[in-house]
Amino acid sequence: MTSKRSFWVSVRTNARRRVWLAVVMLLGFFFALPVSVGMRLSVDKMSYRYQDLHEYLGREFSAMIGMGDVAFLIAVFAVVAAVQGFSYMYQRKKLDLYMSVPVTKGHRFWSIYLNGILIYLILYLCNMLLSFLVAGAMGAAVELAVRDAALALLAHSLLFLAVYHVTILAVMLTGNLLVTLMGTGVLLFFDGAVYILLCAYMEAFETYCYKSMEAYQSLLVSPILRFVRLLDESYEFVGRSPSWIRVLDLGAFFSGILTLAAAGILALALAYWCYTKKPAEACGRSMAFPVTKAPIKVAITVFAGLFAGIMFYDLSNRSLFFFIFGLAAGTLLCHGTIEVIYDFDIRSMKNGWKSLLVSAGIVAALFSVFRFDLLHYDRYVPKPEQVESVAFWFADASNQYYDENLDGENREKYLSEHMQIVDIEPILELAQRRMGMDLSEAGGAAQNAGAAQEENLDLRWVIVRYQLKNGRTVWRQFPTLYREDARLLDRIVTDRAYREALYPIYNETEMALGDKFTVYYDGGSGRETVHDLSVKKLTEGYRRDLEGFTFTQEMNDRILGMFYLECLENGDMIRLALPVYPSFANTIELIREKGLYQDRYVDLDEVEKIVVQNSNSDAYDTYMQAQGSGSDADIQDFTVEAAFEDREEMSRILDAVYPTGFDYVWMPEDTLNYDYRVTLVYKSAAGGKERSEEYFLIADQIPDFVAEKTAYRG
Amino acid sequence: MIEILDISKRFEEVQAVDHVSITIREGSVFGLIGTNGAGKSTVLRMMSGVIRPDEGQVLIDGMPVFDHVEAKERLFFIADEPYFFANATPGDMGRYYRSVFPRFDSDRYDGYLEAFGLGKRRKIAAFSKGMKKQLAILCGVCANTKYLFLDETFDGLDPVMRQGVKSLFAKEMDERGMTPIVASHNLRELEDICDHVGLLHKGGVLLSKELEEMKCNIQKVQCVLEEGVAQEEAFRGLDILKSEKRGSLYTLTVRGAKEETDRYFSGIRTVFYEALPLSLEEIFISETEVVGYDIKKIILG
Repeated sequence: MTSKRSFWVSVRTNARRRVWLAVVMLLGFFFALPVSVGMRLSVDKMSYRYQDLHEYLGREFSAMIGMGDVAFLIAVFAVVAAVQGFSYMYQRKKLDLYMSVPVTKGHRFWSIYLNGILIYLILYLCNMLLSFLVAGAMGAAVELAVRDAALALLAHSLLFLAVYHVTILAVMLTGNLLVTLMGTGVLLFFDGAVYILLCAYMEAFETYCYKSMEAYQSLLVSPILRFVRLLDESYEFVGRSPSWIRVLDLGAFFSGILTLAAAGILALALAYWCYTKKPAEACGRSMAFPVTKAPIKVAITVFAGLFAGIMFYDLSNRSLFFFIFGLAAGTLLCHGTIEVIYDFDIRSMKNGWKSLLVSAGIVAALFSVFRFDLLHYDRYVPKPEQVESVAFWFADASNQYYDENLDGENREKYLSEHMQIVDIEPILELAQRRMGMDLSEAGGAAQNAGAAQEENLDLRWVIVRYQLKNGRTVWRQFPTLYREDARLLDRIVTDRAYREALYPIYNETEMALGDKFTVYYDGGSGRETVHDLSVKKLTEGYRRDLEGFTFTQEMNDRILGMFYLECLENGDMIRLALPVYPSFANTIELIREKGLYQDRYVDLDEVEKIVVQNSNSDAYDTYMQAQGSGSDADIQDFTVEAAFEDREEMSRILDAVYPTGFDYVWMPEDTLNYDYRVTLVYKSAAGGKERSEEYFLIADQIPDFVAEKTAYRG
Repeated sequence: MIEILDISKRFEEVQAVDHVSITIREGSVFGLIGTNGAGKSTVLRMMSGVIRPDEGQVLIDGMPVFDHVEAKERLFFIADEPYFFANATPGDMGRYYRSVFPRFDSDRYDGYLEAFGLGKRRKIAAFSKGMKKQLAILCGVCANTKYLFLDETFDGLDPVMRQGVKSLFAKEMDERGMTPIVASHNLRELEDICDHVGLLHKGGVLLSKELEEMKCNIQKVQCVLEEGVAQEEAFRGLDILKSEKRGSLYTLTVRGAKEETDRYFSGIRTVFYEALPLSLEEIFISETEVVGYDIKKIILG
C-alpha cells in the first residue's frame, strides 16, 4: 500500500492525465530539433564547396543545437505545462476531488511540479540526441557541438524552470485561466517594461541623462530578460572554439546563469508560498487574494497612464497637451479595464474611484518629477569631496579598443574601466558651467540637444562617469563649447590618466604585438607600407609627443599624416590609427628618417586634374525657404562641378585640401567646408597606375576662382 | 466521531456558515438538511477538508481534517457535481482512487461496476447524469473509508437505483460500520435513511437531533374546543410553532412529547382531539417558519 501511494506513483499517475501535453511537446521539439537540423544541414551541405565540410557542418550544427533557437518554444511550453498542471484550481468540482483525497498539499504540488519538468526534460533530451544522430548521419563533426549543446541544455532548462515558476506563481495569484495568462505576461515583462518606460522618460525630459538606467538592469528579475542577457553573453563563444576553457573564462556567462537560476528560485518560493495560502474558494475569481487587487491595479494603471502619455507625446511631435491627454486617457481606460476584469462585469468600469484617484495622483507626481526635474537630475554635479575619480571623453571620439584577450571591446566599457582621472576640478567646473547652459541659446533657436549641436558649430557633447567614494557610479553627458572651454579642456586632455586610457597606443596588451604589426603611413595622398620601422621606436616617440599635446593644438592644428598599425591576431584584425600633428617632433623625425615627410598632402607634379564639386547648400536652403514645405526642391540638383588643369590653379587648390580619410572630429565645425568635395586625378605615370583621391576644402582657404566657378546660378 | 466545532465561513460579503457546531456519531446516517443557501455544501466541503473554516475546526476522529492525510483517509467526499478526469473510464478512476485511498477495494469495485451495468472501459463523458452519480457512489463505497460524505447525491437517480444505493449503504453500514453523511433538501429521501438530522438555516444550526427524537418532540394536533372555552386560555401552556384555524378546527404544530401533549389536551375541554405524526418535511417547514423562513411571506411579501 505504502509504495503505491509514494511520491513517484503520484508523479506517474499525474503523467497519465497529461498525455496531450507530452504529445504537444514531443511534436514541437521533433520539428524544431531533428527535423529542422536535417533540413538546414542538407541546405548547408549543398551550398558549401570547401574541403572542411565535416567541420563546417559541425560548427553549423553547433549553432543550431546551441542556445537561442528553441528558447521561445521552451518558454511557451513552460507556460502551457504550468497552467495545465495546476488548472484544477480553476474549477470547483476538480478542486473538490483533489482537495478531499488523502494527499497533502505539498505532495500534490511537488508531484505535479516535477511531472511538468520531467515531461519537458525527457522530450528535450530525446530530441537533442536524435538531432545528434541526424547530424552525424549527414556527415557533421558532431563532437564540435557537444559543448554548445550541453550549455544550451543548461540555459534552456533554467529558462524553462524560471518561466514555469513564474507561470505557477500567476496561477496561484489568480483563479481564472484568462487572468492567469494576463498575469503571466505581467510577471514576465512588467519590470522590463517599467525599465523601458523610465528610459523613455529620461530621454524625453532629462537632457543630460546618459546610461543612468543601466545600473538598474541588474535589478530586473524577469526570466525572459535574464535569458536575453545570457544569450548576449553566449555570443562571445558560440560558433567559436569548442573549448570549455573559453567558456569558463566568461564570468559574465556564468553570472548570467546564476541570476537566471536565482530569478527562477525566487519565483518558485513565492509560488509555493502562495499555493499554501491560496483558498479553495478562490477558484473562478479573477484574483485569489483580495489584498493583491488594489496594488496590482494601481501599478498597472500607473504604468499604462505613463506609457500612453509618452506615446502620445512622441506621436504628436512633443505636444504637451497630447501628453497630458495621453496620461489621463491611459489612466482612466486601464483602471476601468482592470475593474471589468476583476468583476467580469462591464458595469464595473466605473468602480473603484479611490484606487483611480491614487493612480492618477501617482501618474501626476511621476510626470511632474520628470517634466519639472523635481529630483534635480539635470542639475546634478557631485561635490569634489564625494568624487573618487572621473572618466571623461568626447561622445564622437572613434578609437577602437581591445581587451586583454585582444577581442574588440566596447568603448564605454573600456574607457570607464581604464580612465580614472583624479584631478577632477576642471571636469566639475565644466559640468557646472555647461549643465546649466540654455541649449536654445547655445544652438540658436534649437530646442533640443541634437538640433543645438547642428546649429552651434562649436558644440560637442562629452560623457562623464563619476566614480563616487560611496561606491556609486553616476553617468552624465553635457555639451562643451570648443573655443570657450579650451582652457578647461586643455587641463583635462593633458591629464595622464585621460591620455593613457584614451589613446590605444598605451594599451600594453596591444602594443605587446610589437613587430607583428604591419606599419603604414599616409601623408595625405594614400597610404603605403613602411618597411623596417621599429614599432617600439614609433610607440615610444609617439607617446612622448602626446605628453604635451593640448586640446587647443588638437583643435587648431591640422593632421600632417597618419600612421596605421595592423595585425591579424586570432582571426581578428587589430588596428591602430596614429594621427601625426605638427607638434609631434619625435614622430615627424621618424617620418623624415624614412623619407616620407611631405610639405603638403599632395605633390603637384603627380596630379593631372582636379575636379571640384560644390553642393551649394546655401542656395538649396534659400530655394527651400522660398518654396515652402512640400516643394520638389529635394529632387532638384544644386551641385555644380568644375575641373581644373592649370598648374597655378591646381597649386592653390592643393594648398586648401584636407584628406577625407583623416580625422576631423576635433576641428571646430567651421574649419572645413563640407559643401566642397575635391577629387584629384593622378597622372597615370605616378604610382604606376591611374587613381584618384577625395578631399575636403579648408573653409578659409578656398580660392575665389573655385567658389566662383562652382557657384549655383539657377 | 466527527466534531464540527463552532465553524464559520465568509465568502466576501456573504456569511455562508455562522458558528456551526454539530457532533456526528459513528454508525448512523446523518442528514444535513437546510434551506437554499443555508450552507450545507459549505459545511460538507469544510468537513472534507476542501476549504478551511475562517473560525473553528472540524475534527475527524479527533484529528483536524484540513490538509491532514490521516483524517482524509477516513472520508470520501462525493460533491454535488462529481468530477471525473477528461476522457477517463471507470477503470481509470478506479486506478486513481486506488493510488490515493490505501484501502480501496478494486475487486469489489469491479464487481459493483458489473452489477450496476457501468462498463469499466466506457468513456465516463458518455454516461448520463444518473450513471455518473452511481459511479461516484461506487468509488466512494469501494474506497472503504469510515465516513462517506454525499452532497445531493440522490438527485438524478431513478427510484430503483435510489433503493439500490440505499441497500448498498445499509450493507456497508452493517458490514463495516460506514457512516454516511448526506446533505440534501430532498427530505423525503432523507427521512427513509437518516438516524440523525442537522437542520441549517442562514449559515447557522437550527437543530441537530435524532430523527425519532425530533419526530417525538414535535406534534401536529387537530382539535375542536368546547363552546365557551377561550382559545388563548386553552393553549396557554403549549409551545406552539404553528397554528391554523378553519371553522372551529384548530391545527397546531406544538413542541413536546406525544404523551405530554396527550396529557395536556386531556386536561382541557375539547370536542375532538387527535395527535398526528409529522413528516420530516413538516418539521423542516415548522422549524424554519419559526425563524422567519415562511413560503407565504416569500410569495406574498
